[in-house]
Amino acid sequence: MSELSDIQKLIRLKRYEQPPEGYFDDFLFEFQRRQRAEMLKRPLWQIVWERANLWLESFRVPAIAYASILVAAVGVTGVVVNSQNNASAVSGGIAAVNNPVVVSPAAPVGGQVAPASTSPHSYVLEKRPVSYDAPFSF
Amino acid sequence: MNEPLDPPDNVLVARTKEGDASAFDELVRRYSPRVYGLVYNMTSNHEETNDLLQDVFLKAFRSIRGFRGDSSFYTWIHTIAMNMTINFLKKRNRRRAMSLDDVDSHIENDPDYIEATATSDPRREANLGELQKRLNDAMQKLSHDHRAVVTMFDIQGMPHAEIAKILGISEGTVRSRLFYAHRQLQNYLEEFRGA
Repeated sequence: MSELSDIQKLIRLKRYEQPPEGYFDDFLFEFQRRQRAEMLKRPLWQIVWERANLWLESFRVPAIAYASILVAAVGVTGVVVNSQNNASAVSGGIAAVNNPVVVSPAAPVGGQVAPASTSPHSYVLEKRPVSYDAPFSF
Repeated sequence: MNEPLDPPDNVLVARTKEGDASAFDELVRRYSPRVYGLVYNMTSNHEETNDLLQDVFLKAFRSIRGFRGDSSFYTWIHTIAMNMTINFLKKRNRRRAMSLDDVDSHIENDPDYIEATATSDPRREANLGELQKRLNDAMQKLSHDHRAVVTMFDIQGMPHAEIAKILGISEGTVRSRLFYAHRQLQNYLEEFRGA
């Protein structure tokens, strides 16, 4: 018999260190009590989220359906945002036409730009888009 | 462990995922004795083992939806238990007193125990409590990693491959840790060794 296997035989005796009889029944009872207590302590949003998931699962909707809904939602959001941006750009353009921007022509390189009100020479730039002009004027 | 279980673990897991708490109760009934042995032999303290065991099964219950079944439930629950126990031991600064009066009385019929306590002089003098204390002391002197492999291999009789899966290491590492741990235990338990 080798020395190492003697050590193993001694260590194996530790398997007799067992909790008292009936311990595992009590353990299960205590586990169930803690399980219930934990479920009652859960935040409301978690319960609502889980219920919602269970409810959706009851329809047996395939995962691809969720993906399609998500893609559609992203698409609709994109269209709405885009149209809002266009609307603001158009209104900005109209405002620019009504209120022309005055720019000083002789801005010194590296120097300060004089205020428009004090500058004797100035140009008026109309921010009217070129496409608004008639294409051909004979 | 090798005999087929009825119902199989994967059926109980599936039922638990569907909300059947009694299915998880069956898993607790099935595995709590083995997981208890694992945790107890790492901590050498019944009270701490009890608390840890509750936490292990609660964590398993909370995480059961994430269990994909890539490994067996047996491996999964032992992995949770081992990770939680090692984390606990890292936090524990001092070794608590061990209860020495609750050894299963069947040990006195074990031939290894009879041999260990009746052959040579020091063994003749040894009693059950003393032997258990020496065994526990020796185990506690091992590092967590070495104690884990000794617990699973020597006490619980798990194969190397299963231990490797639970600890996330190679079988070679399991064998080398076992070899090193046995060498250390040899020194600690010198006087109880067989002739």
